[in-house]
Amino acid sequence: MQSQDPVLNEAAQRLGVAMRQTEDELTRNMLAATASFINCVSGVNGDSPTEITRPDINRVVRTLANNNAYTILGGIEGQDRFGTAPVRSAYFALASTQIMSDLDNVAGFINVAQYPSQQVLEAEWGAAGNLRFLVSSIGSVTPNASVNGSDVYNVFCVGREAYACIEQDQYSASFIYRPPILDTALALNCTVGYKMAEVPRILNDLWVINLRCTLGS
Amino acid sequence: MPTIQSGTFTGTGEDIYLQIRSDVDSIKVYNYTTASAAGGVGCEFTWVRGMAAGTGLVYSKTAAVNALELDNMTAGGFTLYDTSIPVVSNPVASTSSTNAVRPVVATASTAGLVTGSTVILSGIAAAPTICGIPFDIDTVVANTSFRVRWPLANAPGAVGGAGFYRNIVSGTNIFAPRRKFIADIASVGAETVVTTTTVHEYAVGEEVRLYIPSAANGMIEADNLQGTITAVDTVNNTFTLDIDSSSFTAFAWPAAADSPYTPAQCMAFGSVAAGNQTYLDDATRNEATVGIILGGGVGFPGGDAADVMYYVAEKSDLVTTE
Repeated sequence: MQSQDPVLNEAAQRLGVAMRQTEDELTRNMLAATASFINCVSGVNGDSPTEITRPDINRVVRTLANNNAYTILGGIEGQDRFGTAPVRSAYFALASTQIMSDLDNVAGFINVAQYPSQQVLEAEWGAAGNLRFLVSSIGSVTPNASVNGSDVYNVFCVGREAYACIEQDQYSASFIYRPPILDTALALNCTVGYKMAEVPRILNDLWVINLRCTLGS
Repeated sequence: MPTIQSGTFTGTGEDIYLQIRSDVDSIKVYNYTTASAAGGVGCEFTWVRGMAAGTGLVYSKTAAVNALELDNMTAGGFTLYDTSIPVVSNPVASTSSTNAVRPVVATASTAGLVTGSTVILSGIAAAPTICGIPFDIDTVVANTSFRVRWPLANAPGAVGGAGFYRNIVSGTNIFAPRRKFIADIASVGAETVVTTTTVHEYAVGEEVRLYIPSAANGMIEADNLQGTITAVDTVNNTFTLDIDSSSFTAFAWPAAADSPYTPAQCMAFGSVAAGNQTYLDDATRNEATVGIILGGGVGFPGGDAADVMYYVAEKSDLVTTE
């Protein structure tokens, strides 16, 4: 028999989201602090770095390829469907949702709606060249770090096995529920929480590049 | 059940950053030194969640008789902190910057700046290559100017006009050892000496990669080369790599015309000292902390220099705001 306590189930679901988001933020912060970067320089917004453009994407793809980084996803074959286009094999580019409109303006950008197949990741926004962009509201931002004092958006372009999250001592996370009888006097309150012990780590620093950009004007 | 953490520290006269992982809900601090001294000085301090940042309660011994008097602190008390959250000051206007290897930035306000502070300049049209890069500073002349601490390879090429600076307080890069911006690279014999724009924090034995993607920095031959640190100079903020750069193009700090460009960087990615270049000893340390700042000084919870302090902090089961 299993307890179907809806309150506890809801708490577990919310804590699960919180934990995975915390893992994402830690990995994001590790990459922001330790990965090498290339500034976007081909835009026209008058800042440094500039907004993201196709030549900047080509530059980072060329660098990853020169460093023998493997792409993460294979290509999507073209089909005879109106408005679609084939998608190249690609590295992942992990970005903030703030740059979505700039991505739409990149030459040759293919939004996920134009993929021949809709078997895509939920976070995916589209592809340009050999990069497929996954966006998140907690994408990396360095405040006020451009030449003009604007926020700089860090787009982590990664190849296969460029970094990893290493679990410590055989566990990455524990969900801990303490019923009222164990947790408080007179059994008034229960507690639910999680803990984890893991280390995000770049495995090959040549296979991850932070493509830094600002927002287009 | 509530979690209690207690401990002791010795005051320095400066603010004390007390790491309390459970995110403290209330804290009492006792000054063991002033508790037995003549009256008039705070000796017991209290803060409870809900009190404003920098405030708290203080029990002082009265000067006339050996009794305690309660008062509130409107400043210099307790403040929660979390160094994983970036804290960058609002932009402060600067009026000019000199064309020197250690540019001096003139400003009417140096509030919060001390030697060792890290600032980031912006909006200096004539000297864009000193903007957008974190610099440690020294020679802070109150409300007049400050100077870039670690020398650039060469002057940026132009006197800068009006712009802004921001004081980077915490949290922009919490994992260490961090990627650093390169201020200068010198070829010395068969080795290479690197100066970074902020304190590099690297150690002998660490493997470091140079990343110089732009020809604006010269020394393009060193791009992607990796070397082992053979020496560290903390006075001049340099480290020495076992890379023979004697035949390389000289390193240069870019001129205004080179902007936009990608600055030269370096990053530690392993450690020979650990016996394996990819040993999990580097670039994995999360140095962010959460806790509470105890204001320093006579009559404050951080205590004066050499004051012996004790504290008891707790995390509550339940915090309410009625």
